[in-house]
Amino acid sequence: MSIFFYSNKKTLFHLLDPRVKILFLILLFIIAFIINNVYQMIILFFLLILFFIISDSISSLKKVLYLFLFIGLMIFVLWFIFFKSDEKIYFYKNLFYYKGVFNYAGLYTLRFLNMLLAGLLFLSITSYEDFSYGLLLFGLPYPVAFTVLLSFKLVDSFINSAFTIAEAQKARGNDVTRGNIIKRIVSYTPLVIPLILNGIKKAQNLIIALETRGFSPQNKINIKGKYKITTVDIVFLILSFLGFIFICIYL
Amino acid sequence: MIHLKDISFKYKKDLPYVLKNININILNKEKILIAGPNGAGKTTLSKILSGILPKIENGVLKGDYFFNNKNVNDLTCQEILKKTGILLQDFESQLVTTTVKEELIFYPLNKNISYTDALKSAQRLAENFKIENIFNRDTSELSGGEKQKVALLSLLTANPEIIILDEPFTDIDPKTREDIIDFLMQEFVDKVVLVFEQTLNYFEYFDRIIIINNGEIIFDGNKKDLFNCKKVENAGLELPFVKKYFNGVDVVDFIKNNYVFDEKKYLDLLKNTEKSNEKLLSVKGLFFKYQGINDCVLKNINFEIKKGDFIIVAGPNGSGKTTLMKIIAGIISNKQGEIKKSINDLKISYIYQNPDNQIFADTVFNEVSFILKTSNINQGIIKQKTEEILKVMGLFDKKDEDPFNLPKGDRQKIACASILIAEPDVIIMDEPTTGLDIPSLNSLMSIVEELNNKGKTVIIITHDMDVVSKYGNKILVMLNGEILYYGNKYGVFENDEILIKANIKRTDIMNLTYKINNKLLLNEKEFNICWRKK
Repeated sequence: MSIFFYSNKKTLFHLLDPRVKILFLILLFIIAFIINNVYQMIILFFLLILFFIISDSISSLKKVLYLFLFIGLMIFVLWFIFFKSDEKIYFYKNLFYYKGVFNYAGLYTLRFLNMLLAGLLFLSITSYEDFSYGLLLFGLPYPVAFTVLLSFKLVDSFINSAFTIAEAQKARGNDVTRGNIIKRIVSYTPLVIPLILNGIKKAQNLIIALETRGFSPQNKINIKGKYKITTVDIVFLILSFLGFIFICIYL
Repeated sequence: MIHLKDISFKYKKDLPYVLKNININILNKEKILIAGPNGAGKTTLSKILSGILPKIENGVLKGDYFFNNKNVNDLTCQEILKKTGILLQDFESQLVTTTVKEELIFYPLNKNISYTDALKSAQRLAENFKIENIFNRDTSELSGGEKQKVALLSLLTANPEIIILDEPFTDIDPKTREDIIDFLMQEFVDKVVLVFEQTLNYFEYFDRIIIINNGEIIFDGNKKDLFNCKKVENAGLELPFVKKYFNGVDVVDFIKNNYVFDEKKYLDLLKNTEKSNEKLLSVKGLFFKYQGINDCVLKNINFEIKKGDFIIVAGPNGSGKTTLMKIIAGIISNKQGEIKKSINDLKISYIYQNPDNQIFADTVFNEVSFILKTSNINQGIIKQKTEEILKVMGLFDKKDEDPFNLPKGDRQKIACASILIAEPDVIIMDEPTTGLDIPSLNSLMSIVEELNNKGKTVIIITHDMDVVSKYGNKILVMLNGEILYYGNKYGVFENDEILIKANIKRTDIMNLTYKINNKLLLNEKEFNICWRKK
């Protein structure tokens, strides 16, 4: 089982052409970047959640929910500590915060989370191949597009190896998921050696496999016929751009 | 096409030679089986032939290697690999994309064949190999056997001049193994096919057999010469039973005329399949599906395990064998259904197929004793228990050695020992004999059998029909996530319908005995019990 986010579904988002998906991702990033109001950022946040629901990708969100919450909390706390303005508001004896800190910390936390959500949405609706071919269709050289695919593939297989090794260690009584943080770190030590050896072997075998299977950075591949821009793609893209223009003008 | 002249090879200057004075001449269209025990030098030879050694991986090569009449010193590794397709033992790492479809179109696309044509040929190949059902699936969702099939097929899409397969059938079910060999022989008539194996099970398909032992060629000839070669057994290899004892005669008539069948002993064999009536574990209404996948991997599984059972789990690739056993061992959770244990703290251990996923310590002793050391047990007891298990496993003399320097057979035993030391009640082993030669396999399985005789319940997942025929009192056959059969082994091997559905094959001794008098015997031991010389 892949620990990554994409699953082959037939939703509107999944069926979009990879080029449209890449453009949509870029638009979402730009929107998240240019919005400077925490309330508008909240609207974008819920819009993204709606996209997750429409694309039946809530399961991806569940996988990383705690990680995202942790990241969000850390960003909020850091901005809360380091933000400064002209006015101090004392809330308990000598303890104070600066006026506007909640808006500012909230804005930056949500901006980062929205970017993460946009990326996660993209990975949930786009296979690695589609991503790589999409880049190729945008004119990126084949070695670059293929490197993107290979990087995802290697990370995926590396993490899968880690899971298998962790399972094997658990089977021998070394359960890395139990105990306090120190015990867990100690339990993880036996995983490192098999994991490194596995990783080196995998990378080496991959080189051999690529040579055997005709890969060369000089290759040019012809994927004509694999993707076709449909009316749905065009309508989706137009609506996305209109939304983008609306945000640029009015927000 | 290929000419090796006095080839010797070692991995480092200060290490001994792994291959010594190898001389092989391979002609166009030859189909060669290269067999030998663990550590004989087969993988090294396969890598030299494909140019990986010493061009990608390091080592010291002596002698001359001519590839298409050119000295390989004058060729780059890429030039050799372009004409050579090699399937490595670690086939999983050879999958370069993420779906089966993309794997099969990778080579044609890289040869600038149009996407539509590449897709058509991939679909044709998938149909030929009956893998249409997994064509659009993610490779990470496939079972080990399915991955091995895909890795092999994706290699064949490159249409190489020389096909080198290093233990290509370890995870593939018996019927599919034969289908693949048939396909290779028919579709690659004009190509050189070199298959490296631990056994001689499929020797009849090949024109030429080369046997390597201790880095040297001890036999190079055809099938006929093989029967007269005494060195075969010295190298730890075995010919299939019928060929070994009855080669060249009409076996059925020969046995009917010279042997007598003992009906009573046969009936005794059939009766003695149940070891105890004490229920240990029962599985009721078990369903399971992986996250993000709609189809259930396991559907309504119901069966019971009794104390002291020795169960063999068989079935085609992707039928749910490993998933079921991981659920029983508690490694996978989130199931639907009930697993009821007779004892609350029933200890179930699972031994993985690849021992290298477990091993990490610097010595065999430290590796095996690891789990006791984490349990605050007295040092003296740890030493005593570890030494005991090392003696049982035949590893005591190697207790101070680095496990990574030992052969795979020993590493497999170390992985077993490190789990058995915790004294589990149930031992589940996933393909424990994969990659083991016959002496290592026999040694490991005799230990497992001894543990079972001492009351441990043993479950083994395997595709190896020799293991199925020799070990275990019950068999659990799975198909498409359901139990197709559970009971004594005779019930499976006498039922052609189950055999076909589950891609299981009878061994030649089963075929023979069934043909003689319709009384199927599982192995040589049973043959010797029921058939006596007149």
